[in-house]
Amino acid sequence: MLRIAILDDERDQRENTHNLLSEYLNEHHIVAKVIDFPSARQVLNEVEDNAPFDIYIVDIVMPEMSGIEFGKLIRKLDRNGLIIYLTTSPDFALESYETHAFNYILKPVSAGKFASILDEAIQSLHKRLDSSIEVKTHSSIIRIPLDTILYAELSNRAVQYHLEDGNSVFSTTLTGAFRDAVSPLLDDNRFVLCGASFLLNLHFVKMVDKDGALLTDNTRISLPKTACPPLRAAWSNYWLEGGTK
Amino acid sequence: MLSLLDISTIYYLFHVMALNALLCEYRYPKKKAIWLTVAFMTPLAIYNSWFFVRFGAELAGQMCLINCTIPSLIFFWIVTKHRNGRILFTFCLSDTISLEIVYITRFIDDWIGLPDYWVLFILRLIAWPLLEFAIIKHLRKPYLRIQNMIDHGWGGLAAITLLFYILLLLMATVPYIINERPEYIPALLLVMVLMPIIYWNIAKMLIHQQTLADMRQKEQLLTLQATMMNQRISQYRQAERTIAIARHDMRHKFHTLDSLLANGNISEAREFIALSGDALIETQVKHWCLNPVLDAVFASYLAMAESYGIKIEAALDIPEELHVDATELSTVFANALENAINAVKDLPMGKRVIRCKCIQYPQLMIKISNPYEGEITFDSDGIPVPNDNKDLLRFFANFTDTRSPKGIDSSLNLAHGLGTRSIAAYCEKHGAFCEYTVEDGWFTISIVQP
Repeated sequence: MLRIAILDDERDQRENTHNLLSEYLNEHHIVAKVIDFPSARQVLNEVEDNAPFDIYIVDIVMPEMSGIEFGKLIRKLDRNGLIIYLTTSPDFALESYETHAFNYILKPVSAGKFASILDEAIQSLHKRLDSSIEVKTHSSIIRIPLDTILYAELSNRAVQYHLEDGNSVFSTTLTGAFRDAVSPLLDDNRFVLCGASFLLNLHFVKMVDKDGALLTDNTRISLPKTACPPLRAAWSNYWLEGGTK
Repeated sequence: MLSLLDISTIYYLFHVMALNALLCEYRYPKKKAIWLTVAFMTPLAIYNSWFFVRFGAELAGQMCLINCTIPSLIFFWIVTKHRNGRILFTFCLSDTISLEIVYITRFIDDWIGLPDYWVLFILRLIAWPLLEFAIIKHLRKPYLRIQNMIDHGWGGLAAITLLFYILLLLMATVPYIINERPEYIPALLLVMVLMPIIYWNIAKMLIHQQTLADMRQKEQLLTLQATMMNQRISQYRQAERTIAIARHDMRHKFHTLDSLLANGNISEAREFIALSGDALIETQVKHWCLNPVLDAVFASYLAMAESYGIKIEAALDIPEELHVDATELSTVFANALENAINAVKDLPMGKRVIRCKCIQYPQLMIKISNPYEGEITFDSDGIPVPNDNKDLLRFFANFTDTRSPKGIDSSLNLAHGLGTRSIAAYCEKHGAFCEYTVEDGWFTISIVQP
């Protein structure tokens, strides 16, 4: 179930956004838990105590903490949630970039415009959350969400999938090439083959230098010198084209 | 049966070509340049080796100019990016340095006096690879950079190296080989000492000129930035004046509004409010990014672009505080935007568009794209090369004749195509990675700044 937070200090505005959102969810038969918050501190507490939200619909001009400050803080707790700013002022659009915001909408917003932005957001979330692969291991078949794979490598003639939580999954011994074994992942623009025995998830690549890549968990992947420029091109292209969007 | 002297002479032939290839800046992409050099130089070297074995050292020496020097000079003239004094200088430099190695090793061998040229052979075997290693490691990049930065004086330098080349050859071989004229050896040795001293001074002079060129470029950059900042200040002043007028009008407006509401003219009152709101928009100064230096650069260039009817699509996530020097980074933007504007300003109206994107997570990444017409070729470093005989000349042309409608004499460029070079220089200095791509009629420059 999707979790959506609405953050606005003004009650009328909060209710207005809530109604627009409920209409959209009903119309599209989407089940979601929507929570309204009058202050940024409450959202941060909720995320810290329970779970992050998939979408944050946030006002900007608020007395206690601005939507931009909130965005910067939430990014420390949640890198993936989509922030949609909904505000009366166009003056904070540049600052909103710093929070890696998904969109910046000026109030009053029409139901049509609101729906089209939510369409985009939900599509992006589905793409990220719903894609997964089945991996045949020695004991069973495991389904791994693509969102959790840091990278895969050829290890003892099997594919070793390194996951975000630090665990790894080994496939059964390969009968063909590594490339063929990971080919289902290559359909997703996050994954890139590097050299003959590595497959990286660009979303978790922090840096590509002359000798390899550094991942967000500080794992260093050493790559052949010739593999680095195409990886860097794919990586920068992935982020410049919107990353998870 | 070939003697060690013969083998080392053939070996020398291959290495002169290698030196030339290392110091020459090709007009083609790396792979093509290597392929062309191997495809042309290998048969030439084999032919010369065969000639040497078949007709002997003396005839081979006499015919060397026709058999080897002229064909390889023509080859490098064709493939180089600089078809002028630079390539002749480079060519004669490689040849004279190689001749020095040949003569020195020969003198040492004679002096030690071991049989069968073993000393000469071993010394030559080591000397060229050592020299090539030093060039690859330390000299190649700065030398190529100097070639790009310095425009004048190459003809004179080429004449000096050419004269040394002729002098060394004549003194050693005419009327017959110098070993048989020992009384002339001191004179030759003096020339051989003189040559490196002159070369050393040429190198110092070139480095000095490059420093001057760097300083000139920096000065131009600062002047340009000062102009942009002044423009920005005048925009703020204009906005301030508009706000002052709006404040002055406010009281009258409230009065009007009050009268309208008192008379129950709700729709007129609303219309009046909407119109008053529009006046506020005029007080806004458009910002492109949070960093003030880069914002001024963008404001100037993008205003210039808009005046040419170029549509700008920009999303610039650049923080107020950068971990690199904003002034230096602005060179990259200024050059890239300048190139983009020049590439699209003469295209049909609907195609005049520039897209700029910048993000700071996971690293600072910049992408500037524009449509182009014509053909773009890349040099051995993957940097676009201006095409002299096509309309693409304007793509990387010097901008000195481009006066911006906003009054900026916009160029940072000192020479033709130097915009891309100064981007490359920035990347080298700051460890950034730059890539140019051409896809579906769009030219894109992407930079990753770790």
